[in-house]
Amino acid sequence: MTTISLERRVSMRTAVLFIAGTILVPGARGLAGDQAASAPRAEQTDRQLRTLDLGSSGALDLSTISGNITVTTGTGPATLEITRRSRARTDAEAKRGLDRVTVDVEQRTGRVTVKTIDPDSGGHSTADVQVSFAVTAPATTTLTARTIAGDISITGIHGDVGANTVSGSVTLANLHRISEAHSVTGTVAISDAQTDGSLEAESIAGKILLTRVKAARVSASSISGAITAEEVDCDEAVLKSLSGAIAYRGLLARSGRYELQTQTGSVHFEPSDPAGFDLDARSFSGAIHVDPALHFQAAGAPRRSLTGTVGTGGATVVIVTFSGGVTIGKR
Amino acid sequence: MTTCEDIRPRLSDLVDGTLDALDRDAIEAHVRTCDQCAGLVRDFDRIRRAAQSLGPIDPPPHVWLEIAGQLHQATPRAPVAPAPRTPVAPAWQWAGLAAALVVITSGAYVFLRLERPAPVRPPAAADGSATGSVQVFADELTAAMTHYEKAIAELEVITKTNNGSLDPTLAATLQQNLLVIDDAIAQSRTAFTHDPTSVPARDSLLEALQRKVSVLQETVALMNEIRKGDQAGAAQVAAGFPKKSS
Repeated sequence: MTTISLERRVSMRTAVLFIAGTILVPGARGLAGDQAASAPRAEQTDRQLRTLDLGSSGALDLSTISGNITVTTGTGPATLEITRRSRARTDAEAKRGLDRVTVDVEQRTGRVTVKTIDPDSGGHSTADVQVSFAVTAPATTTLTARTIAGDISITGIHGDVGANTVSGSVTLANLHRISEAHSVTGTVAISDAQTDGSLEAESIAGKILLTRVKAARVSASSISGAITAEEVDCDEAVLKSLSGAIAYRGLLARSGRYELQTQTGSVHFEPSDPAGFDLDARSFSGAIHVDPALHFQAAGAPRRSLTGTVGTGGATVVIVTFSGGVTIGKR
Repeated sequence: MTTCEDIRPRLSDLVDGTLDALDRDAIEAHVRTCDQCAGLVRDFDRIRRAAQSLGPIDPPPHVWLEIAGQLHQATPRAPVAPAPRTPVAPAWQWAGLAAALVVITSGAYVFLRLERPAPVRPPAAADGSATGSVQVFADELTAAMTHYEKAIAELEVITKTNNGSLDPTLAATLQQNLLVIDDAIAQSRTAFTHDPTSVPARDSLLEALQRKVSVLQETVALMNEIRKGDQAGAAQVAAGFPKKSS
């Protein structure tokens, strides 16, 4: 493992505003310090580039507190660029912040753990320090990325991937195995992913976007965010939101099971092939509409619930809303 | 060991039968004279028996968040410079963990028992033999809602007591979503009250209650990590990583 100091610079700014929309949870606020957060004018930045010995199928564990994590693939040795940025009222305070917050890189036979360390975790510091990681790694790497306040973006990794942030978005693209993708406040977007196992995406307040995803099981959950699954191919899907709308457009496995549930949001279910399915749609007060082109064979007169079969049946589709409307087939 | 605070952390051990004779006798003596602890023992025992009858239950991620926070806190720090920090009072955390565990277990129990997501429901049984099971079902539903509401009340006390530890923006976001859930609960409860046979009303009510418990648990877990003062640990635990490593 080699260390190359790329840049260490000191700069004064008359005003440095925090990134709009960045939400600092207390952990991040612990780094920030209330006074610095109000009017940081000085900034110090340190960048380091490290070469990591991950081998062809190593495991990489990235954990930071306030800062983004970006991972892409490359053909050469794995590299890690660490950017530490400290903001405070004065240069001296900013430098103290930079000196205080360090990054521990531990390597053990193909497993590398990168973790931000802040010994002053009580939130008394006057400097706001953000530590971001930019990684280039072999596609076969197994990866875990975690941050409290920051965005996570991972592209092209084919090993098992887990991504978690509290305040920030999660963007995963062209991945093969996703164990989990979780944000408390931000959007979770997964595209061009395929896995033999389960894919789990969760947010409390953010949207969940699944595009061109293939998995044995897809699970997505949000409270106030919408869930949109486009061109999804899975044997089982469980999509749940409380107030957000849910849309599923994708293939249906013959023996698959697809559950879409929302309280006040609407549900749109549109299989992308003519294969049949058995439908059980229930709503307390929402309207249920089925595209006539599907030639739906209802089991009884539609009231607040609608059961029946499209085509020869097969896949099981369960849709439950409380007051949201339901649309089956094209709108 | 005579106070409830001393006794309660050991009650689950009592129910599990893992105490030595001396501790067991002391705790049983206390339980015989304390209605609250006796009630907890009954709850633990009922949950344990229910769990045994259900087989393995995969806990939701939030429970790992909660447990990981507790374990992390229990792990001795490396002998570096002593942190000038007020020790974390364990009482509310114990309460939070206990509430979380009780609700998770009972929640799993309730949903496994009550959720019947068959694609096509059979016609409702009309013969008299169904009456007993309907009553049992109604009782279980009432018990489930009582469990949820009790847990929610306890968790809300914890979060309100410690809400200063959360970043205001994050706290506001969580609060907004709790209000969304409250609306859903109120809406579903009203509908269920008017039409107790409505499956969507019942399901949405249970779902909303479970959601609220989950959000409150996550909030408590975050607060736990923040109060511990280990931000790196917060990053790891808040991210929910432990849930997949079990």
